[in-house]
Amino acid sequence: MEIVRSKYTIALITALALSAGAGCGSPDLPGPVANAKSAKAIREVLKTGGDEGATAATAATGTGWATLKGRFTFVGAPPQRPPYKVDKDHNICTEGGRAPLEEKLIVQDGSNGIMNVAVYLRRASRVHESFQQTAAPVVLDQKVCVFLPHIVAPLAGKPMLIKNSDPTGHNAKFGSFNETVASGGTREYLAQKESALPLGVSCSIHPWMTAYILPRENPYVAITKEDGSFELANLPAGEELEFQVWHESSAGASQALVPNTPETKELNWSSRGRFKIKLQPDEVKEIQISVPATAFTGV
Amino acid sequence: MPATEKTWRDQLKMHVIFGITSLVMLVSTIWMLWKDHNREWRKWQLADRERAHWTIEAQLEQTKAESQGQLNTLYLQLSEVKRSKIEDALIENFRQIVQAEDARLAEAGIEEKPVDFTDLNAAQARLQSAEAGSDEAADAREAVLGELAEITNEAKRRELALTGQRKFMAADLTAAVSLRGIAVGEGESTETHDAEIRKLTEEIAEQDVKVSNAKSYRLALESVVSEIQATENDLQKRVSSIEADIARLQTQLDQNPGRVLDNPLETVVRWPIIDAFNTGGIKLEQIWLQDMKINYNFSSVARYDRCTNCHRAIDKTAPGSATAPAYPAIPRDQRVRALQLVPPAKVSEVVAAGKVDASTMEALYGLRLANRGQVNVDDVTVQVVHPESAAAKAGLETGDVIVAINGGQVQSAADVRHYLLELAEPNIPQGIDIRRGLDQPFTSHPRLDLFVGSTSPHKRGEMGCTICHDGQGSATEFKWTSHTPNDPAQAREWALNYGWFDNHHWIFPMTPARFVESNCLKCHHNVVELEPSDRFPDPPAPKLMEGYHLVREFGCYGCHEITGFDGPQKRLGPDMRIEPNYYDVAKQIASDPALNATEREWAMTLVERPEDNSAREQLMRSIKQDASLAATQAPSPAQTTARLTKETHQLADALREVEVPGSLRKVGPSLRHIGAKVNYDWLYHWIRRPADFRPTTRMPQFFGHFEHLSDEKQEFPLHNEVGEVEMVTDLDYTKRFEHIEIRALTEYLLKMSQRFDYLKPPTNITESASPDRGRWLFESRGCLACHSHGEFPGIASNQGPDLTRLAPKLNTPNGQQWLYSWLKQPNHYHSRTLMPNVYLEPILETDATGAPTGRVTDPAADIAAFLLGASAPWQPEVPTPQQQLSPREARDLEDLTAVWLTPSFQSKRLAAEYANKGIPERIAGTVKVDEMVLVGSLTPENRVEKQLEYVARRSLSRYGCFGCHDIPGFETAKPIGTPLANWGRKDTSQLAFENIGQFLATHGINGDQKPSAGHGEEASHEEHGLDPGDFGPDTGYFLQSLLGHQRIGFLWQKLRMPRAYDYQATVNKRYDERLRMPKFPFSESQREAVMTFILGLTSEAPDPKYVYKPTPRREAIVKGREVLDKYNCAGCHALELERWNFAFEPSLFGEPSKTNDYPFVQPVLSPEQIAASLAEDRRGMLQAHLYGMPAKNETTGTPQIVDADGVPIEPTDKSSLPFYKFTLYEHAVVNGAARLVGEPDPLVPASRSEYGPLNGVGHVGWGGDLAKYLYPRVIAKERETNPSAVAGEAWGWLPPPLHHEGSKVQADWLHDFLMDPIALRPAVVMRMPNFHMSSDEASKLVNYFAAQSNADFPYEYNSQRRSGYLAQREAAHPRLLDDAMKIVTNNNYCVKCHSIGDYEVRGGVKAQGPRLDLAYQRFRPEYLRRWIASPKRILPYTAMPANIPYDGNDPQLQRLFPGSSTEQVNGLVELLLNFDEYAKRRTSVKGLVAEPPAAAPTGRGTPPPRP
Repeated sequence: MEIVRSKYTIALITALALSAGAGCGSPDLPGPVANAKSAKAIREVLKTGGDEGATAATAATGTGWATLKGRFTFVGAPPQRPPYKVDKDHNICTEGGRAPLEEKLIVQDGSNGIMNVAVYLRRASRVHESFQQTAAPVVLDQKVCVFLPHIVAPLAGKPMLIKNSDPTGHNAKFGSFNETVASGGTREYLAQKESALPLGVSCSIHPWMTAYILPRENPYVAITKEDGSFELANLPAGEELEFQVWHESSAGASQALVPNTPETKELNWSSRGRFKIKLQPDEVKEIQISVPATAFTGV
Repeated sequence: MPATEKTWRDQLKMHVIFGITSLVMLVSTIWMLWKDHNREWRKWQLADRERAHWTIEAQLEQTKAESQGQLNTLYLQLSEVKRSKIEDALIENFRQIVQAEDARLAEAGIEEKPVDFTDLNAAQARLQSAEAGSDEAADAREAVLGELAEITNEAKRRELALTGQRKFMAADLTAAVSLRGIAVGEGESTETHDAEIRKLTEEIAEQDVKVSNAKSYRLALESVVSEIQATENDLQKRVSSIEADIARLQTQLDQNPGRVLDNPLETVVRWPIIDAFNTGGIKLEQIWLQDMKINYNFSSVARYDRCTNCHRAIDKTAPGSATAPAYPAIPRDQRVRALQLVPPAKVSEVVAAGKVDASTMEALYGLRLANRGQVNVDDVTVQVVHPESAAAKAGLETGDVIVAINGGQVQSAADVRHYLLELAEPNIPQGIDIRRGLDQPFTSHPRLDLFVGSTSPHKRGEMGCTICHDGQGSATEFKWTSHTPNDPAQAREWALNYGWFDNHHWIFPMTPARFVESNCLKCHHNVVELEPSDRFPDPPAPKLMEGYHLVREFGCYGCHEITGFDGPQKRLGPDMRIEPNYYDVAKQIASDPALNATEREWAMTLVERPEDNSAREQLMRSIKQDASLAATQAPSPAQTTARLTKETHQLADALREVEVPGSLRKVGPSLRHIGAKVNYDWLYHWIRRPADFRPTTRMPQFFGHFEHLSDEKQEFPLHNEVGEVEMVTDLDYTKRFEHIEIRALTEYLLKMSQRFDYLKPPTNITESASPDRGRWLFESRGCLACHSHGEFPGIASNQGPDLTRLAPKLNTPNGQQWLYSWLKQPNHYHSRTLMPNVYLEPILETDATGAPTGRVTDPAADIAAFLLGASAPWQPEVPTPQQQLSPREARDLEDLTAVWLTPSFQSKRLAAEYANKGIPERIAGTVKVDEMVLVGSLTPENRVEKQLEYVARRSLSRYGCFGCHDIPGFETAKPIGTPLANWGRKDTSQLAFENIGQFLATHGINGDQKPSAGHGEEASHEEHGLDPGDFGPDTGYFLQSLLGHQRIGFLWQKLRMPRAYDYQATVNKRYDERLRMPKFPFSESQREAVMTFILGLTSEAPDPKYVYKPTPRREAIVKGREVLDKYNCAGCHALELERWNFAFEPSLFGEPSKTNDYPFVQPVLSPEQIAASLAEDRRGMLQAHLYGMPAKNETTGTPQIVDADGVPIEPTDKSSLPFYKFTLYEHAVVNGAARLVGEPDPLVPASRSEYGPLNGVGHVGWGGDLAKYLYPRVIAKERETNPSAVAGEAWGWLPPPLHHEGSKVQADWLHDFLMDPIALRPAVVMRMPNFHMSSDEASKLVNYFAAQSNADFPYEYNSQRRSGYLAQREAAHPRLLDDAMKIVTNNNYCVKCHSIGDYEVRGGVKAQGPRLDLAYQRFRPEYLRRWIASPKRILPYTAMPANIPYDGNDPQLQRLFPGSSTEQVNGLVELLLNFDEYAKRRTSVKGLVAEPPAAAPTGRGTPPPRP
């Protein structure tokens, strides 16, 4: 793993040196990139320029499409979900006097499936045409003082909607967005750039409310369902794909999910919750990840 | 006697004498000429001229090398353009303009030959047919342009002709007007003249039309031609600019003669006398400062500074910068640096191919060496480094001297070639040691932004040099200028090389580098103006400022007055004096039981607010009236006698008004009620050695300084237990007396302590005190902003004492009660304490849903329990003595009493007698106040008590304890130390160096060595037995100064071992005459900082025009800063955020995100700002200036390092490129575009080596330590109850940053808030404490904030609150306030989080904002508008959402407030700013006023009923 990482760094530095342009006599390393656009430009350089195996990892060489699916299951007894501590607007924010349950870690009874694990492709060299059709905009609703769904993944550059189905005002705060969403109203949000990790969404009026938004430039994002399953179809085949796995209660750095089990060792799962995989055209790869309780905080 | 041929003297002899004297005269003349010609400054000027020549040549060559590629490209492009075709449309356009003009002329009937296009057409045809890029094309293009130019010239000619004609016509008109004037004068008819004038006027008007037409025609043609030649002209301009640069350098080079040896003519014209005709830049110059006087003791004389004769490059800036020094003064130990040069792959190939020379070096490495060194001819010096070459990548720069390669010494260019060409392997890095930077006097001033530079506030020609540096400015030789070495090694080097010597006769030797900041005080009397500011973010005088703050913190001014005034108007320097002691006096007066109720009220008012003039004057008058009764004999029994005591009468004078009062408070706590706080045990040890109990205390040590005392010679008499005199050593004698003094002081302070009423806990408390709760309260309520505590290692403030150890001091019944009272209301104990009231009111506990649990806790009790529980253990160094004095102690006490009495009675015998028996009543009228204690006969019962009291009073006076503490009975005592206002110029003959040299020689530099036994006598005679050269640069320097009997050395030693000057002097001094300065616990660097400040106190203010006079805004900032420092506002609040300046590649920052903002929120960028953000430096990098702070890790609170994706990484992760997410708190302009507050944080490349940006500096902010410390902790605390708590909002639960407080709040509101803070933000874990500051201090703070934000002060006009404004607005929008109120009260908006009127928000405090009904008093209108419109543009972390988004076409909220979104925001602002008016309209008072009953119908003369 170390080797791969250092090779990548060499490639990046080479790329930066190339992109620095003429006339620079500075002995310092040229300034690196700090935004998606420039990062993209560098990736372009990485794809075309560069030498030997260092860039092979990210070069788009494959053809055809493949599918990655799988399931995350919790090892042990499913943790209890305490109710949210509703201290305001009780008549609206509780149902039958019962506050909604916390969503920090949702494990399905019986199947032990872990809900709301985000599995997404870090960089896509190409995107399947099925994604080109205009889909209905992603919606983040607020109902009984809970964000629905708990994680949304809009495409950068495509507007999404933030709704309020409650008879009271809410606001949605994440990144640099913070607007009131009046009762029954809708606000539009357009992510201009992708985010490498999900951003927390909160409502300042009802501080227990929480959700996540993950704007991405590619559509290869899966959020596990109640049974812990996910499926990413039409992935570029024949090239190395790097996935990020994230869960809000993970104990890993930056909430990266690091199960540390034989299955993940096999996948060379990194401490930053990433693994690489190369799929053959039309291959349907299935991975089963059992996650021990130690991979989560507060369990 | 007949005349003879014989002369009186022998001619031959005379010839010989004459011959010899002529020769002597010739020789001496030549010698004189030679001597004058070879004056030292010429040598330096010639050397500098050579250096300048070298530099220009190197710059020229470097510029050529850098621009060669660019020039070639430009030439190529230019030649291409010159061979390109011209668009036919443009020529056609030209033709049409010409034809239109011809047509116009023809129509106007002006005869003008129509333009012939034949040649143009032909040329155009030729160009069309020619192949682009060919010679024909070039030829034809030139022909076309030639034709166009001809036609344009013709147009120009016609325009000139018309203009010429108009001139003649104007002259005719002038003539006609004069003729008419003459006609009028001669009484003739003016008719013909008038007609002529009319005619000419009309003609001129017609001509003007013609001229204007011709001009527009010509301009139209020219514009087409320049459009055709646009690219060409642009290229040409760029070429010219580069060529001009080169030409400019070439001219400079030509004008600089360089080395004399290189120039045969120069060798001649440099000869004496002839050189007067051709200076060659070598001439004596001086800066004459007529008003900048120097004090020559008997008169003040204008300064002549000639320093720049040798320091010629002092004001030279680096190319392209206004302030960066051209020749940085790099410290010697940092000059040599190791670089890695990587030989290119081809090196062995090229070398193998044949002969290698300088050009091979240049071709392979991009490195050209100069043929001689910059200053030293033999230095192997880099002249040119080609861009992007191996040499450039290695970091080599022009001027670097190559010292060694791979460890091998380099002596010549051939060595370099040998190592780098013959020995070097391709791609194997070669270690190169280089030396960078020049020696004085060739360097430039390191702070050209502050000094010497043309844009600096201290310009060379206006200020000169010696006002800051001292020294003999008129001298032109190194040794006569009184340069001062910074350490003994430098002194030796100078003496050897330049004949330097310590010139005792010049009273202003140059200030050594280490104290150079001292002289800032001559002109900067307010001192704090020398703190970093917007204009000078790099600290201008850091050491001096540290010294100033230390003097304030340690309270040096308590004993040593620092007066900055000569009369009320004239300033001499910094002023640091204690405030008038009205507080102490009022407290003491209040203790007089005979005070009447009114007087007591006045006294208590003064205790609370000593600045209350009215109470003070009335109290003073009242007491004086009473005193006058006491003074007169009562003439009749009817007249009342005085009520008040004699002491109270005497205190009245201390209430007088002071013309220029001091402003500093005593630094120590009040000892007036000390008995209510601590007990005998603790106090004894504290007085004995404060650091024994608290190692970090600032209280100095008065006792136990024995290093200078002898323990061998028994020379001091004391009585033993049986009353016999025995001789003891000085050490014993002192120890025994000090022991008595400490005991006396302890008992006296406790005995004199006045009654204190402890505060009682409220009755509604249900819970007992809990150390656990107390721990969090201590941490979160602000205590750590001023105090440190061992339990909280992440933060250390020294505004107040370290509280790690409190139990041994306060865990007594009294101590506990005192601590509770103190925590709850510090000013109840001492109203001049800086400790604020932090409002430890009872807390009504609530459960997780916000409902009260019925439990009530007492935070003051909790914190007290924590402090007393979490206390570090302590074992005093010595046992506490028995309360009862032993017989020996009793004897010692009497001996000490006798010693103290001796000066009053001039007789040891009488003194001893009085000490034992008491002072006889008959002489009671003549004794001093302290001695009154001993008047009357002393008995065995009261003797010890009286003697102790007497000794204690004398000791308090002697050590000046009242300089820092309020002590009953010492209210009017005067400071005891030497005034320091002009100590920096103190005559050294007045400093008693005594035997200090011998002391150090025998006791070692730290005074801790025992003089070797048996050699004591001899050793003490060793003169200056220490050699400064044996010590490090610092100690060596000070020792040299001390042994040379200079002020600096004296002060150094005085601060280290204040009593050591008494070495071998005590034998001739009475005990009470000995030195008494205590020792302060300064570190080495602190000591030097304090010295820097004290040495700057000279009382030598120059002419007022040089004294720093701030603008009113700047002055407000300076005055406010003093108050901010005093109350440590920066402990909690960030007053300034961080400023990061760095260079970056233009590709670093992409497009800023698109925003949809109200127009009034959008920043307005000036073209200059944009241009500055787009200006590339020589490296092709842009500059960014960001204001804010890097995002912090929510668990650790430290700045978070992220990778290029913004994902957090560990600092140890070396594989990812590190960045900071920099949260902007002010809009920035980066790469030509605005970066807004509240948008995603830009990623700033992080420096790997230190905190801050790569390629730049991160200027630290000011303040907010507590907020930063608590940030991760409040998140963790909140998550205990709400796991969803958002980290980013946590800044909103902490003391807010105040960087734009002035533009935010109204001056009046802020003033009152500071005086009596209200609880404002429910979400904040603490609330603003009450500092009990004076109105004057609050005003200073208000003005500071306003000035800092460029807002109006001291008042601001708030037109939106005038009734006329509201009426006008309501005319346009009826029911404006009601509609706005609908938004406020709607279930979606404001009331979700804000309480208003009688509506209270429910739920947890974290989701609550400030009350809205107070906004009208608090906010400035524009701020409020911007805040409501877009809160995140002001505070990036705020939880407040944008309620009314800017929807130009589709405004929301129409049901509530019809109108555009801007109108809705304005409506809200108007409601909030006029909420009082809104409330008034809803309040009916009429019904409360009873109507008077109607008058009785027949009730004539009946009076109205009484109410």
